[in-house]
Amino acid sequence: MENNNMLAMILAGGRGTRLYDLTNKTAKPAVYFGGKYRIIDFPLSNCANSNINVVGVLTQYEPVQLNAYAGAGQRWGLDTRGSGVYVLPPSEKDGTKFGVYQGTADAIYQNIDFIDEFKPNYVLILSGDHIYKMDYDKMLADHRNNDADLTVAVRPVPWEEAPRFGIMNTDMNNRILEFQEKPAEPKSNLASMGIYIFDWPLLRQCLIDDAKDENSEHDFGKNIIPTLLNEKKRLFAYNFNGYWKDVGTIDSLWEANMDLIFHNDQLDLGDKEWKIYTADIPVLPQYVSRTGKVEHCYINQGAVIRGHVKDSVLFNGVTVDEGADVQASVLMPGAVIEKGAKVYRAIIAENVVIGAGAVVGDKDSTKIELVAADVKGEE
Amino acid sequence: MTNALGIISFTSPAIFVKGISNYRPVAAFSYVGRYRLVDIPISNMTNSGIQNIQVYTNGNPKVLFDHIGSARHYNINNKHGHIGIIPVMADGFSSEFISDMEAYWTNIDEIEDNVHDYVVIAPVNWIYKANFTDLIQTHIDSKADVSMLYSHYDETNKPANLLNATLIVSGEKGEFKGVKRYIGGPATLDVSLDTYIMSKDKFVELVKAAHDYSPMFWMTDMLNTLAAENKIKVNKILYSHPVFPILDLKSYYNSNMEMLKERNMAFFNDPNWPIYTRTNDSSPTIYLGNGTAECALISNGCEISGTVTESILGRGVKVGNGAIVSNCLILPGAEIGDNVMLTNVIVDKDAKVIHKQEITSYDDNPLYIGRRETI
Repeated sequence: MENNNMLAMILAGGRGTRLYDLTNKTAKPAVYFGGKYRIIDFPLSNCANSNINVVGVLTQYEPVQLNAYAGAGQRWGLDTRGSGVYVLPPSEKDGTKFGVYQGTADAIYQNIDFIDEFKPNYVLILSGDHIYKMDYDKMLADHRNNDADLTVAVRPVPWEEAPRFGIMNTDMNNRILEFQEKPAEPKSNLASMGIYIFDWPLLRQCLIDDAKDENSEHDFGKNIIPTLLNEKKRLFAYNFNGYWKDVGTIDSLWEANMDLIFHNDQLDLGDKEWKIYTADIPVLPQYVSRTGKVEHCYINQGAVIRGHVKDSVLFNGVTVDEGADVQASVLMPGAVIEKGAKVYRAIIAENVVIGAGAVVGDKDSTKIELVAADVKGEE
Repeated sequence: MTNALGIISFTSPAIFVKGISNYRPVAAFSYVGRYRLVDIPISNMTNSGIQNIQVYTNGNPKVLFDHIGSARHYNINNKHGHIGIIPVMADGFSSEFISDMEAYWTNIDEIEDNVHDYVVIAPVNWIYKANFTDLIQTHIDSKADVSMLYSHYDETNKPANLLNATLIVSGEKGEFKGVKRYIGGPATLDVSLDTYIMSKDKFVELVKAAHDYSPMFWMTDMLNTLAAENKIKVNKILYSHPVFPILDLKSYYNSNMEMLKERNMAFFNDPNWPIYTRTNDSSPTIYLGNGTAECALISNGCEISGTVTESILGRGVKVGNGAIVSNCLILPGAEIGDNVMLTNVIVDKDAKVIHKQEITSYDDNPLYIGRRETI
């Protein structure tokens, strides 16, 4: 495939503290989603499907699992000649102390040498935290047509939620006139998705200047974009209307999983033209035993179901034993629901065992229960 | 790495699965929804540490090239290991009658050059789980020329159909006398699993000898000839775990359906002995509306809006609203339309049952619907 000369950098350093125990030992982008995937599979597969050959993954918080996972580029078809997935944790460099990434812009700044090696015309900045399918190649075409210096992907959000986002005010031609970070009185409802296409030479200089600025927080939203606006550079918004979800909280992670069952047309993961790639696990197809019953679910291969499951997302290696009842829940890989246990409106973390007869969560609650440690059954 | 070359053999023309056989070699038959038959012997080999494997095939090899590809998905170290696919080339001769031995003979230089001292030969039409490293040791300890795996059947465990399987004929002291094709008869049988272990030198010797007789001389013919002259010592190794044959359409259906039994599923669903296959990157399966499943094996990428019971579904199968699929084997990509009722039916790849509302067959005689057909 002909390369579009755009290199992607995925910011995957965040912990995702509002996911609580799910991110105790792993970074947010490595969190499981949708029966078989991890969150970072989405930006990586989008890159692979958008004709991008080189992807840098910037890791920081609990990076071991994420590094090992993202490093295997063949999973996304990113292992042909001249392509690859490069895991880039902060590293010691000549003349600097071994440090951490100070901000999103600093993370890219510290990897200028890496990017220079590939001589890209464009650099795509992504976040490793979001669930969506997007053709970055189309966004690049827009960027070129507008002769833009920076293109920011935006999506409309409900007006009442706009004060929670970075809001872009644009003219009729989508040129960005103003950027408001979490405005009390928003002038528009177009929220930045944290997806940027920069002309590399421009971004490169901008990062070098920013690094020298002691007052800067080295952040794209707070520093780089306002600076470029002040300098009257050509900033354009790229409208995205597809499914997009920040799964940064237990509730939103649960909701996004439920969307796969209740709004299966919104994020169609069965789309053969835009597959989401992930690790391949050698297991049998999902098995429903004679005592088992499955209704209205999203279930991966390798799950073994001997009980009743309804309105739930089940990953590979999940076991639901006889007499167990699972409803409106997400069971992550290797979770075991023993005989007669009841699980309602819950996320059961990887390899957690819900003991026989135990009851977790509440059908009528508005709350979603996260269970990240084994629950004892009846003695 | 195990000191053995793995050879996957092809079946004799006696093994014919009505319908399914028209479109692909036995090695490429779909199995339990997400596998092809060749995945079973290859996984047994790679799990046993065998990293050099040759797959011989006497049908159109296209599907096998696609499926096996670089073989990386079989957990093979691509620097030290290799899976080769060797189609039988027939010069003005119907390829299905060319013997396994003749196929090996055409590749004899490569076999002789192989660095390993032993050869393990496994078929594609017997489903079992075996550690070949242990079996090689058993073979060495036996001091026999050839070891072969067999299964013992009597009234209690005999599968419904063994027609055309290879029977082992033994003498009074249990010594190997030869093999013959099963055409019905005794209640107690020793059935060969067509799996052989021998030194590479012995293998090369047998292949060359067979070639001198005829290109139609099979491994079984060679063993019979040598046994009749008392020139070979054969060690029979009893295999006493679940094993399923594919010998015709009915046994193909049964050997899939056997996996719906909890005991068999648990035996093969072994994290320490995985069955590898090529991933299709399908999404998980979705159960929509009133879609439901009971007693079923269901691959990824399916869309189930109807009722599935006692059935196996391949990847990407669609079951429409109000449809009822029971005791069926549905191959990848097939579509069962709204309100269609299917009982005891095998639906081949990418076929559509959308017009005819009800198709019912008998469990001892499943109906076959052809590849890409629309019913």
